[in-house]
Amino acid sequence: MSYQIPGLPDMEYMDRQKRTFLTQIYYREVARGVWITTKHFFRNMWKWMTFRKGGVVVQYPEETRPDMSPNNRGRHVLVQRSNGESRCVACQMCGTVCPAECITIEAEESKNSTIQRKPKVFDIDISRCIFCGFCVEACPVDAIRMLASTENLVGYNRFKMIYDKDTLLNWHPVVNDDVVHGYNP
Amino acid sequence: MKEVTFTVDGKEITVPEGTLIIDACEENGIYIPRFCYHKHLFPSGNCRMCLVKIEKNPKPQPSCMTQVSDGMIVYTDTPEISEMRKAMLEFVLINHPLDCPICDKAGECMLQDQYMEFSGDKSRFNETKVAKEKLYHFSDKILYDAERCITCSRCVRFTEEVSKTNKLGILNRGDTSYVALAHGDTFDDPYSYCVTDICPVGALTSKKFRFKERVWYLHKTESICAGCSRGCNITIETKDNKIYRVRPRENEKVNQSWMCDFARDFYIDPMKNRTSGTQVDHKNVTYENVVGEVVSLLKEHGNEMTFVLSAYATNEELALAKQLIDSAEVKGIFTKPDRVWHEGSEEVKSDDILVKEDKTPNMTGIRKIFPAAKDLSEMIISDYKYAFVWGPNAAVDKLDGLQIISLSAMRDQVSDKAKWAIAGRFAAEKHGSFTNCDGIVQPFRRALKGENNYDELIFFVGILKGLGVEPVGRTVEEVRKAAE
Ligand code: SF4
Ligand code: SF4
Ligand code: SF4
Ligand code: SF4
Ligand code: FES
Repeated sequence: MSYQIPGLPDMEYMDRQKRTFLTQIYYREVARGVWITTKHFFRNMWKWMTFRKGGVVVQYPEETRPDMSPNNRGRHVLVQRSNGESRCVACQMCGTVCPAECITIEAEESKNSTIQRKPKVFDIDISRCIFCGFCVEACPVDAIRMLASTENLVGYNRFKMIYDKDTLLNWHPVVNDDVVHGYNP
Repeated sequence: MKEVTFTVDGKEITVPEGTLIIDACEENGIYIPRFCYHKHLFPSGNCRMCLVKIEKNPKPQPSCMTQVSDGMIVYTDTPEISEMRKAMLEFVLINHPLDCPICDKAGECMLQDQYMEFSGDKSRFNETKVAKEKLYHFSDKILYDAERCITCSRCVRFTEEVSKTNKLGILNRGDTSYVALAHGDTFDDPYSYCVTDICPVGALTSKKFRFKERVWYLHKTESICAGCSRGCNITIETKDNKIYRVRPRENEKVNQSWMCDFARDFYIDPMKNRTSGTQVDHKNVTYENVVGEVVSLLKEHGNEMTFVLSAYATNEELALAKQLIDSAEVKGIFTKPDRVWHEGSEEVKSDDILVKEDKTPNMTGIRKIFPAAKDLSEMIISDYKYAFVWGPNAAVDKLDGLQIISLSAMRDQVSDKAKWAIAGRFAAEKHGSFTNCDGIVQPFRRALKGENNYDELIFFVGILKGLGVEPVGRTVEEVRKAAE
């Protein structure tokens, strides 16, 4: 993206491991990996045998966790107007605030001159989304919301995980014509 | 000129006599908020956003209407002034629609910026806002939204003072006032897009840019307009290698804050008829191949070759071309108009505001570097066997019977006929500098990537190396330095 924040220092975002002789010969690292896997296997095995929590992971997407919070941020929905169109005015606030940069919007002229602006393209790349909910907070017209459910956010390849406008509008239709925020363009 | 010294917020400032307080402060790092004042328009003092306190003056004064005088003591940041600014913003915002999500100005709107900086208060207005016309089509380029307008009259003064078409005026009073055209008129003004830049809010917007992209995503590159020999300073705003809009950049000596509509469209419209790649006898060959062939041509037939220069070439490319011409002993050097004005086109032929009759950006540069170059119409064909034609628009019948090497960004009859064809780049796709009609050398930077992985400069460097000559420089900076 061409948008840059000027004046930010170059930062190391990771704790990089120093390259030493011991890390360069990979046998030691392979052995370490095998050790970690084995350790977790026996630990989880023990939990499972003693009927404790956390022994086995959830088999998503066939199962979902029963103890999910009702406030969980799950999949996105685009709110509809009563005529089935999206409430979104393609203002790009969500795309701008999104830390994963996974929202792609293209605007076009709406036929309704009191709305003026509507999205032509509205894609969310769910494989990049970090479910932070910033997009929901940023939206000035309450056009995007998140459901608690995380059912079926899967795909066999990463292109199948880019959800377009029609999917987002229709997979769990929410119709809302109220003026939620002071001004409803 | 006489100088006067005055004090702003305890800081002594010396400026020439007659300077306005608002300008004197801005030059010295104190920004006074404003809506109606524009540096290149006559001040009108109607928005009252720029009020300052002047000692011994019972009432606050608009700093855009007050000239500095000796010993004046001005305050710009007293609690009283900041209260006034808040009150002015509240007035402006009473009937403002808060369209920011759908407003093309959002992100560079003076009302947004100044509200965030100088007010930040919550609205106390519970009544219904005045509704006005939201889609007023001024012309097929400009759209006006009366609700967003704060009637600062910048656009009106622009048509009065700069473009001199007097098309716009303000009708009615108070909260019902709006900018309007005469009944049945359209806003056809060759500089009409300028009002979208100077409008401090999103009331006047360009239809071409409408809803295309949010302004904060655009990458801005400083460039020089290649539309005519005036060489207006512009900013090319791009995203993902596509030009979204072009806006004028301030330059007191050349274009103040303006540019013509034609050039803006000229940049935004996708260029048709582009050349691409390198061809010999209409077959695609590699770039190295063509360079090799041109080098051997120059070596063997340099004295049978004529060189037709392009007025779209940058000064740096011309310097390398001169080196090439000198070392290969090319005989005839000619120039041509690369773009001509067509009768009946929407473009202005020339006026006394900005547009010049010479529609190429760098003819002055050619005249400086090649004082002996003659016009192509004076060429005698029988003297030559080969023609190196640079740039589009050479008269093809003038080149009958010659073997043509064409280096051009545009496809035309010459590049179709050429035996050796090399695709070039446009001004927006390369670094360089142009010399404008007044002899001012203006550097510019590349805004677009360009299709080919070479540009004219690299092409000339390659040829010079093939000829066994050390080029004066391999990059724009090196050539520029060598020319100094
Ligand atoms: S939840 Fe966060 S990461 Fe996901 S689309 Fe919204 S803003 Fe982007
Ligand atoms: S913030 Fe809301 S209205 Fe704006 S583009 Fe995103 S979903 Fe649409
Ligand atoms: S003019 Fe400015 S404040 Fe008004 S709607 Fe447009 S961006 Fe918002
Ligand atoms: S349209 Fe813009 S420039 Fe013209 S008066 Fe209104 S706010 Fe000022
Ligand atoms: S800027 Fe001074 S009154 Fe408007």
